[in-house]
Amino acid sequence: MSFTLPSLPAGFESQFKVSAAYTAPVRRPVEPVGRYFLAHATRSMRGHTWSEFEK
Amino acid sequence: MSVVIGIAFGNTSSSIAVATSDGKVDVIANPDGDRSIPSALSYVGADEYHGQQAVNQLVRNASSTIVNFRDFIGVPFAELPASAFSEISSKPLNYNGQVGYKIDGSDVSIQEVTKRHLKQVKLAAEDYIGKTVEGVVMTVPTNFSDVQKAELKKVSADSGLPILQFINEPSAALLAHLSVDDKLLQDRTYVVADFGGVRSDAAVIAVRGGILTILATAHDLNLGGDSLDNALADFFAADFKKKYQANPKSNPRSLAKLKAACIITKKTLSNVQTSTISIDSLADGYDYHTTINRLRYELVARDVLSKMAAFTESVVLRAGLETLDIDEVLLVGGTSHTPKLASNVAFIFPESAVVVAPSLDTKAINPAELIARGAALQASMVESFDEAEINESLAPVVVNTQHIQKSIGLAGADGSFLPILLAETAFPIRKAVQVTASGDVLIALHEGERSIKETVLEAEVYSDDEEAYSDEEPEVRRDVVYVPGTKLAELALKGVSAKVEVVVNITRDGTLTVSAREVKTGAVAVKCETKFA
Ligand SMILES: Nc1ncnc2c1ncn2[C@@H]1O[C@H](COP(=O)(O)OP(=O)(O)OP(=O)(O)O)[C@@H](O)[C@H]1O
Ligand SMILES: [Mg+2]
Repeated sequence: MSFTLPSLPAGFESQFKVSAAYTAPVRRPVEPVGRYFLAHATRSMRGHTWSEFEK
Repeated sequence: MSVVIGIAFGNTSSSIAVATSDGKVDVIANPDGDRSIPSALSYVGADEYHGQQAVNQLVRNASSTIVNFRDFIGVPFAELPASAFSEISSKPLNYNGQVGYKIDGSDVSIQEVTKRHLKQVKLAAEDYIGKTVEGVVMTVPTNFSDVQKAELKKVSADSGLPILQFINEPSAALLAHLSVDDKLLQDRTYVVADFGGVRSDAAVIAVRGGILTILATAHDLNLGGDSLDNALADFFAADFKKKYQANPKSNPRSLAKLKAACIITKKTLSNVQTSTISIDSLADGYDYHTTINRLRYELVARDVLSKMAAFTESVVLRAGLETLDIDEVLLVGGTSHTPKLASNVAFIFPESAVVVAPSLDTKAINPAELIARGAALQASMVESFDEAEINESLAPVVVNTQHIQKSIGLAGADGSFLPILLAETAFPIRKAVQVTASGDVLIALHEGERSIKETVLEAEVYSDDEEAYSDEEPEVRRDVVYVPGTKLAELALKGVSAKVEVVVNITRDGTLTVSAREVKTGAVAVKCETKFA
């Protein structure tokens, strides 16, 4: 099934609208295994941002 | 070949694995040719036996044969469960408040026993690799305490195997499973159910963006392959008694012989439909010869096998989920070779859930090797880091991470929901999706609400038995579907003609940014941000 974006409703004048905050997250330990954890750890320790990591 | 190896140290058996330079993993056989090396030591006269050779001594030298000790490392003697004091092997004793065993008339600490076992493991590994092992990644159950880990770390270092990192058994197994075909980046929810010799363990693990998070665990310390052996032993003992009026369970040596034969029979029945059992002089001088087929075995073991399936379901409930929410069940541990266990588990989960076991999928990795393989993969990853760096990566500030509690995605024109981030995704995270679009479109970011869709399946039509048909309950299929819930933000994109890329980014402090742009050079992104409540 293909996903289709709704068309812009009439009267939606601004570029964007922020409606709500998202549900409060929960802090849990992640498992320190695998290369994606390694990337996560490296980012955390060096304070890298995602965009730096993407380069 | 790597000089940092993975070790899965179980109560019943230990496996060693090492990553090769081409990214594959070898599971190492010891000099006896065993890849599943029994965690057992036996002392006869001046000789030390290890592995299967030690297990073989359970018939003649039970009191000097030590098995099933891993779980007692770092546990005060006073806290040992009654099941620790097995009738068929050396009994633990009080060694200055800790656990010890009697070897050659003198008391020896459990640390010393563990050290001797790990030295043999090291020898086997080095014999295979041809180099000195410099470090190990060691797996432990998720309920191994910090005290137990500290004790094991010390003992392992003393035996020449410095532990660079402990990892949880289910995570190691899942890592090994997902590393084939690089399935780590598929966001899915798994149950990892590990059926060993003396115990069973299970975990629900969410994999999101390649990161594993344990949502729930369950342990049964009195359920495992031994329970199957005992059920089979009871069955054969009753049969033997009927034939010869002698009870093979009344003396330890007969019982040990019977158990050893049951283990072989049980394993044989995992592969073929019938097995013969033949024990010379089982009791009172009578030999025992008989055959058993798989169906009969499955009846004999029915209660144990049902308990194992129910145990697998219990961990899902602990996670606050339903079996419908599980994408895949990975069966781990030697006992997972049992075909009926796999089919019982498959019966409990909906058809949409994949159950991975050798009897259901010939390409499945040997369940008894999964944990060691995962440890070896992790070993090859941490090899280039020094201990301080590894420890830094394990610090609470790195490991304890925020996880979103509802999925976040887009509302479609037809009221559908396209998830971008699933619930339990750890952040910081950044994920992009592309959707086709044309004209002026609304990118509406919502949280997803879970609901159950019930579909009444067309009942089979019985042409000549109308009554049976009308009595039959129509079969209802239940599926989890997500629909748009709380609206978080909306973006407008005008005059697009092909594809739109939507990027959701959540920073460490929880700021969520959503941006959208047409996929073409020079297109400008529209973006906005929100926080969590
Ligand atoms: N082919 C097989 N079919 C059925 N059972 C098997 C097979 N191979 C091994 N087993 C059983 O698997 C069990 C050992 O599993 P495993 O090696 O995973 O143990 P372990 O991790 O040391 O477990 P624990 O700590 O629970 O004792 C034993 O009961 C053994 O008889
Ligand atoms: Mg185990």
